[in-house]
Amino acid sequence: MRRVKYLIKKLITLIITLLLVSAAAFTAFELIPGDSVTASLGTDYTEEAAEQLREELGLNRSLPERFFSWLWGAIRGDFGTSLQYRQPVSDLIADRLSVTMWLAVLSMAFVVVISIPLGILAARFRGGIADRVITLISQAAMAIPPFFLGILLTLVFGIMLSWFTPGAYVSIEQDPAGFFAYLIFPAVSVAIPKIAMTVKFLRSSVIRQMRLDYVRTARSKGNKESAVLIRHVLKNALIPVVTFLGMAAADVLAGSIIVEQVFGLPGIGRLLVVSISNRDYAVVQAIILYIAFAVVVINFLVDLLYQQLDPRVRLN
Amino acid sequence: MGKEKNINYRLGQILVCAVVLFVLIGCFYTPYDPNEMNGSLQNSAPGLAHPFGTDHFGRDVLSRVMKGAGTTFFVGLCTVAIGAAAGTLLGAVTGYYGGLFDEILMRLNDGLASFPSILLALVIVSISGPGKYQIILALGIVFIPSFARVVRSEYIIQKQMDYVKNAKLMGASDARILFVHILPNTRTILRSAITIGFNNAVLAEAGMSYLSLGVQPPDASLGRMLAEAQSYLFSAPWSALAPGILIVVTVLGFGLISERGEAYGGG
Repeated sequence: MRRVKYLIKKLITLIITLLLVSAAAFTAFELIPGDSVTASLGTDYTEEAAEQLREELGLNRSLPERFFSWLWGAIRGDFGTSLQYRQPVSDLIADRLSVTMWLAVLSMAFVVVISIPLGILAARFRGGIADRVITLISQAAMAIPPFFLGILLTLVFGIMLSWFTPGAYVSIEQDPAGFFAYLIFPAVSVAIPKIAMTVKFLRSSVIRQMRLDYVRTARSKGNKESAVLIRHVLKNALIPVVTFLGMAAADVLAGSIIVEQVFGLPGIGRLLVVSISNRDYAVVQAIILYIAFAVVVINFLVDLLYQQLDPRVRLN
Repeated sequence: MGKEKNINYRLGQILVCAVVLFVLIGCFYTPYDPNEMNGSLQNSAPGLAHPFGTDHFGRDVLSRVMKGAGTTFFVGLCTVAIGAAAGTLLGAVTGYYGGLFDEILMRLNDGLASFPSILLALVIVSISGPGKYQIILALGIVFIPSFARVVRSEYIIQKQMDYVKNAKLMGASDARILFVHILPNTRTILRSAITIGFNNAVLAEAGMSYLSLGVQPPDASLGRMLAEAQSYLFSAPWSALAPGILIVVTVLGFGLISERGEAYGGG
């Protein structure tokens, strides 16, 4: 019962947040000086023509009215028409969404698979050689911006070693294996700084747990150090990491936007950048809304997972 | 543990000093004019005359990196100044008074904190248009919440301390308590927030300029140089490596220094 109540409360918060986010995304672009009507009429501008076009585009209605009709369109997947491509915005995004999504998923997979063992290793042998090497490398890795890492990987693996051809992207429909093979290096560039941060976070989380009484009890019962670590400590040490990974997921999504540019991936990040340069606001608005929704939903899921893992959260 | 931290801190200090010196010299002297093109020296490899080589226009990479780092640092400093000033003010007032205003702002803050800062900056830049000052404003606004959060929690702790009660009894005004009595005690935590904020600002500026939404040509900035150099990666890798490595050294240096600040702050 308590769990259902918690879920309902969280769902209501989720809906309110989504509404607020979409309101922010909508009104932000209403603040832009200039009028799309005057811009699109150009030299044909007359009072009557402008009035008529406003009528057609629904611009003579009040701000809340326009917001709700925009939101209603957005819910049905209708974001209007792109000025630069003369295509429905939803079509433009649909084509590119899977690229960004796969890039983010792959990067996140790298983060989880690589950082958890490394973090545990560093904490297990803290102060030793393995710990020092891992800490040093992750300290340096945190300082590399993903797009520079992308350029470095292109230089080393693309140009010097010829493991892949820079810019030779194939779509997932054409060649799924080639698609994922091409995605590996972009995903690594996005993932490495996040791996470093997660390792550092997990290491200190494990070390914090090691000081607690239950660990001493487990040791005094004659458990081996590795058994204590895996069976007792890990379960507790990983809980805060879940929240951390949730935040990392949002950053991975943002990192993908820039890294797409480095590797010439046709994802929504590149569409966003091109649209900002061309002042194609319908597209910008839609992409911002998409990413914001993704972030909010990820946070929601992390919250749910967290209360599933940590009974203390459930009681509050 | 303590000794190791100390070594890291020293290393950080050395890196930061080197980078700052490099940038300061770049403000007054560069070996060549950073924007001077030399048609006969396109993409020439590093050598005695041009220690970091030349780029696709035959411009001296060393001079451009010096000037570009200056621009990047300028953007970073202005951004942090805006974020820290506005954030401290907001954090101080909300932390000290609490109440409904505090509640609303903190909810807003929580919401904003979960969004990647570069995305928020992109939203602002898409409204204001690209450019050096636009990006300073955008990043400055984006950084306000993180400063406000840190300062607010410090004010909540400090306001319960005896010295604040004492000052109140002596009849000090709220403004005096806020800024003369409490503010100096937030300096350790503020210092570490500023170094971390500066790092994030450098990374964000580089990212935005790389996407050509930040500093506009002919101004050099580290991110901008990386974007231009990328097309010539095959023939002139040095013109990408130089600005990239400078970013890494800067961020690493300030990162190492800020760790010690965290240890001080008890975090």
